[in-house]
Amino acid sequence: MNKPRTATCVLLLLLSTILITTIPAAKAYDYDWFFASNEYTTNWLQYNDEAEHTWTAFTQIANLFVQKRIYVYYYGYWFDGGPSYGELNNWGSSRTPWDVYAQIDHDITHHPLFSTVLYVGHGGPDGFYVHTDYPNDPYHTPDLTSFNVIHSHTQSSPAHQFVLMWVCMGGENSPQGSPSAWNPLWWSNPPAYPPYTWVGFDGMSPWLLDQMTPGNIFRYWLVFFYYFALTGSYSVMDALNLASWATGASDFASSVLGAYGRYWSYWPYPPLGPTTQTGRMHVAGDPFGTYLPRDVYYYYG
Amino acid sequence: MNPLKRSIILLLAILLLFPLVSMAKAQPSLPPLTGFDAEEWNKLKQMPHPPSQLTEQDKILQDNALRFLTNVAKLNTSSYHVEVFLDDKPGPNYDKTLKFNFTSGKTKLDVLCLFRDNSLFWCTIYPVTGSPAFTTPESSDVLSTAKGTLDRLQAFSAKEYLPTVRSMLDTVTELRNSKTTISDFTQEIAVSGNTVRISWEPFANGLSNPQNKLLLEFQNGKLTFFYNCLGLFKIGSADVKISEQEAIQIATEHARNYSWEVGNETISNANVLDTPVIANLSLQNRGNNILYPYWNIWLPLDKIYPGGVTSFHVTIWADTGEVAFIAPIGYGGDPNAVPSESQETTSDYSLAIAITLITATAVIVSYLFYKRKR
Repeated sequence: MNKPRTATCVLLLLLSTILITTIPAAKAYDYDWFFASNEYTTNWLQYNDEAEHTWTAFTQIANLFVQKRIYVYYYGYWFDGGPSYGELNNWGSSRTPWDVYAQIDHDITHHPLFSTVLYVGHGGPDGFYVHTDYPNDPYHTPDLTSFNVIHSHTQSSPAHQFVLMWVCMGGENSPQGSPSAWNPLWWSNPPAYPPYTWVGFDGMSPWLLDQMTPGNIFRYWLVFFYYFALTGSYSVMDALNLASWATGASDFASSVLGAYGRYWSYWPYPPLGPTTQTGRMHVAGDPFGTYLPRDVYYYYG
Repeated sequence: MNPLKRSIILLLAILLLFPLVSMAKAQPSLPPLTGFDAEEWNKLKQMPHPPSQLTEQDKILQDNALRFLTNVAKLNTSSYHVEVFLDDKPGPNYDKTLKFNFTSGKTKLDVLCLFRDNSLFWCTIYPVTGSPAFTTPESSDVLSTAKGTLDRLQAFSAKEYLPTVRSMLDTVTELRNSKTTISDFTQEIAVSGNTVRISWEPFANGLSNPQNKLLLEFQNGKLTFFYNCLGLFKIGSADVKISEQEAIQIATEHARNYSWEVGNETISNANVLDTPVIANLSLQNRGNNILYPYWNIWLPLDKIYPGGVTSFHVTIWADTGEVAFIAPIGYGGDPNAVPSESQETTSDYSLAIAITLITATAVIVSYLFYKRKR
């Protein structure tokens, strides 16, 4: 055996190992500072394409968050101090409701300044689903991540200031239920706390792979929304409008998401069905005053 | 020292360096960001972006936007302190945006303007806190305000169609939900609570497109949204050559022949029901901002199929019969919950690859030692 050649191969293998493990990617991390971003979904009742679209959206959105940085002025120079979202999680469907509650507690403790949550999947007015061992059994529902339990964890902290629940229902009895569960203090006395916005659905939420206008699916709208919400000086309301403009509408109100009867699905079984289903996006709270934090400039010393 | 020993020492050195590289990746090498209080943190958070330094060209856009706000929206801009933020990254069908933060005491107003070809075509005026200061007196007569806005718009930037839409508004005596077509334009009025939307779009066989219009929105009698994309789009055709029945038939055939994957299983031959079918017709952009008639069709299925599929969404170009989009879709609803066991699973492909490579390296090194010993 040619020893130098073998050694070279080994060296290359090792170098590739190091390279692969140091490629920047929006992977979960936690520095316990500044802001936090969490993404959850479910593996329940999603066929391959829909799961793929959710995963793609989450990856792109996580990458948008990780690009927001802290710039530190230190002894005459500006340094990149790392991500301003000091915790970023793309949980996928791999977690249980108890993990969600624990994460809420963690965010309140370590990221009280601003925490945000995105969920895409299945649920209803009482909560949303995370992981199940029976992903294709419509009658074997996963454990519910309950809005009541979330409320019991959040009642002493306004840490969660932007929440997007891409899931059926939740907005009908606003602010009761999901909107107030994540930040009850803000609803109790809005001027006393930082602005808070909840975005969810009245009625049915559409699937991310479904089409809004030719060439535009709901996944694009969702990623555009986070792109604009984390860009320049746009508020949540600006981002809702700009994402809608980017996907074929004049603004949010005129978009497919802006009113009932612009997207549909069907449920074949009683007691709910057989019936056609529609819905609309519901925006509660203060979308004009809520800004997702982005780059932070900090003078040290 | 022979080459093998040198290689092994080098390998060991790299292996020792590896954890250091990982640590460097895990922690930024900057001083800890501590020692500042909650007020400072809040200040940092509330300043998403420093106000922009505008170029001369951008200042022209800024002046254009401020003139619009002063002369058309009748906002008393001089009573506010104004901060301007520029986003010069072009977006879909726009070149730049200017965001204005107007503040006066506890009153705060957010204005976002979009420009295309140095022309203002999109402007939202949102009161964030307090009541915005306008130079016109409070009026509950939104219809008069709308007519005045069109007059001022013509004075601000004359367009040949503005007198036409202005005269269409003259035919309205009361603001209520309506849709009327006169000559070249369809005028639509939508009233919801204190919000009134009035839009004008080119007449196209009764078909609408959500972007091809002039739109004014008033909240509590004040202009909150101006949008004008007349001229951006062209109507390629508004002739519907595929009837609703034909479109549903085409959609049904495609749905029956469609298959999708759930895990390793392929699902096909879905049973499409005849009712209830929903079919909507609109004008949509087929590319290059040219509009054509377009069917949106939703078909019900007889049961819930693997992957949660209960229906199909099919879209068809109504001038050609070409299927533009088809997808099995479901309902994100909530049958009665039955608690089940949950399980944590994780997937980290990078880690798996790294472990594989390290293991492979260890095997090769062991093999080399074994060979040398022999």
